[in-house]
Amino acid sequence: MTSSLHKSDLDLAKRVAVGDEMAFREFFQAYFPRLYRFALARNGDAAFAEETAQATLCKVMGKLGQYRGEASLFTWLCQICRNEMSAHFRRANTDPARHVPLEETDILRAALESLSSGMDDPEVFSRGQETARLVQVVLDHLPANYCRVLELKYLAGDRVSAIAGVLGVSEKAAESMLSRARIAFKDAFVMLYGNDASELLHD
Amino acid sequence: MTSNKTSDGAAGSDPSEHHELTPSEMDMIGQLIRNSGQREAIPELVERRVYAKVEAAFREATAARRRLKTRLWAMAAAVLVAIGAGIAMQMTLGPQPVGDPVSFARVSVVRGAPVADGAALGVGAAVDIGSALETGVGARLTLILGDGATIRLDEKSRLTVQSADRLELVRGAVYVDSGPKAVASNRVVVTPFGDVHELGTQFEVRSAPDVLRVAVREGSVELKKAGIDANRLQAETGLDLRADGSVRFFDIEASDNYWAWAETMAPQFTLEAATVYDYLVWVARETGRELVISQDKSSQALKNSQLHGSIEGLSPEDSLAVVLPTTRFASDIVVSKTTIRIR
Repeated sequence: MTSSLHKSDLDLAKRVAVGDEMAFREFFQAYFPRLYRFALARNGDAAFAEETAQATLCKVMGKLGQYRGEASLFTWLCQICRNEMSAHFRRANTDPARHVPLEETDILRAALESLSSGMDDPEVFSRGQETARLVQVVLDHLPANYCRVLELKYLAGDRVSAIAGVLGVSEKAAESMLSRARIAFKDAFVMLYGNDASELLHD
Repeated sequence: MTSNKTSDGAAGSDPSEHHELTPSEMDMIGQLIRNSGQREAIPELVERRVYAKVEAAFREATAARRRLKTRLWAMAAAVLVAIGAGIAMQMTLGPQPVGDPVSFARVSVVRGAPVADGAALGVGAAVDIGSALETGVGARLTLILGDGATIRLDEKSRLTVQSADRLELVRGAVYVDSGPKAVASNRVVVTPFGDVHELGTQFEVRSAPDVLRVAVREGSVELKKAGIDANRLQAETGLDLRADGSVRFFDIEASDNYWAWAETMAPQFTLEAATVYDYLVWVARETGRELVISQDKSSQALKNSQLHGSIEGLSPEDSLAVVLPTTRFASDIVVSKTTIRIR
C-alpha cells in the first residue's frame, strides 16, 4: 500500500496544513461528526464524545502536515482519537477495565443478538443502541458514495431503479455499487470488530 | 477476509478480489443497517462549540507557521521606529469614523462573498439603513459605523439594519464593538428571543432556532424579553436562553479562543505614524488582553515612539511577531495569553 492510494485525503490534509480556510471547513464537516460517533460508540457518553473528538481535532491542526496518506485520513484520525480516549481515562483516573472497548467481539455478539430480541427489556434496548452505534461507526469508515447507497437501500427502502435515479447512473451501475458497498461494509465491520463479527454475519 | 484499499479509500471495493456475499450475509447487513437507523446527528450547539475551538486551533497553527515565515522577513521589513520626544503625531486609535450621514456604515473587512439585499459587498461599500446583510458559508463582514463602532457578522448569518440604533439578527452571530472610548449608546440587537441593549462594550449575540447566546467580552449588556426580568451581563460572562425559557449562565475570558473569529475580522490598523502605545492598546483590545504598564515613564516612552510601515493582512495576534522585535521595547514587553506587560 502506498501513499498514492489516499491521494484525495492527502490533498485535503495538505490544504488544511497550509491554512486554506475552505479546506478547513471541508475537513471539519467531513470528520467531526464521524469522530464524534466513533468516540460515542466507546461508552455512549455524549460529553466524553464531544471532549475527545474536539481534543483530537485540535491536536491534529498542527500535525496534518505529518499525514502521509498511508492509511485513510479517517483511520489516521481514529488512531489519534484512541490515544485521546486513553489519555482521558488516565486523567480521570478511571479503571480502563470499566470501559470495555466495544470493539471486543463478545460485546458485539451480545449486541447483535439483541437484533432478534424484543426491545422492551431496558438491557436489550441498551444493547440495541450499542449495535446502532457500532454500525454507524462502520458506515462512517466507508467512502461517502458507499454509505449513501447503503442508506438509500436499507433506510430509505429504495429499489435499485430508484437508487439509480438518485445517483444518476444506470441500474446496472447502481446494482454494482450496491454490491461493492455491501462487501466494503462487511470488510470494514470485520476490520473493526474482528473475525468473530464475520461469523456473526453468517448466522 | 481480504481487505484491499483503492484510490477512493474504499475497503474492498473491487469485488473481483472477493467472494460474493451469501444471501444470509446480505440479509444480516441489511438488518444491521435498518436497525441502526440514520446516523446520529450532532447537536447544533455541540458542533458550533467544537467548531469554535478547532477553528481557533487551526488559526493558531496557521499563525505559528506564518510567524516562522515572517520572523526573517520582519528583520528586514520596513517597520521602523523613530524614537524621540515630541515627534509622535496625534493618532486616531483604530478605524476612522465614517461621516456620511446617509449611510449607516461602510464595509471595512470582507471574507468570502457577503451580500446586501442580494448584491455583492466590497471593502468601502456603503451600507444603508434598511439593508439586509447576509453571509453564507465561509463569508464574514465587518462594518464601521459613524461613531467608530464596528459590527462584525459571522458566517451563515443574516442581519437587518432596521434603524441607526436597531439591528435585527435573523440568524447566525454578530459581534459589536463600540470602541475603547465608547459613550452611552442606544444600540439594540433584536432577536426572536429578546432584545440585547448595548451599554458600551464588546459583545456577541448568536441566534439559533432553539437557543440565543449572548456573550460579553468587555463592558456590559442587558437582555430584555417580554415576561422575564432583564438580565444584565457583565464582562467575561454570558448566557444561553433556550426556547423553553431556561437560562444557563457561563463565564468566558476576554482572551478565550471563542472570540478568535471576531479578531480575524478586526478593521485594519494604520501602523504608519502610530505610536507604540496606540498599537499596543489596539492589539490588547482586539485580543482580549489586559495592557499592564508598570511605570509612568514607560507609558510616556511608548507614547513618544512612532511606528512606520504596514501590517496589512496580518491579524492583531500575528502582527505582534512582526512589530515588537523592531521596537526598542522588545525586551521589556512580555506577552502572555491574558496580558501584555511592559516592565
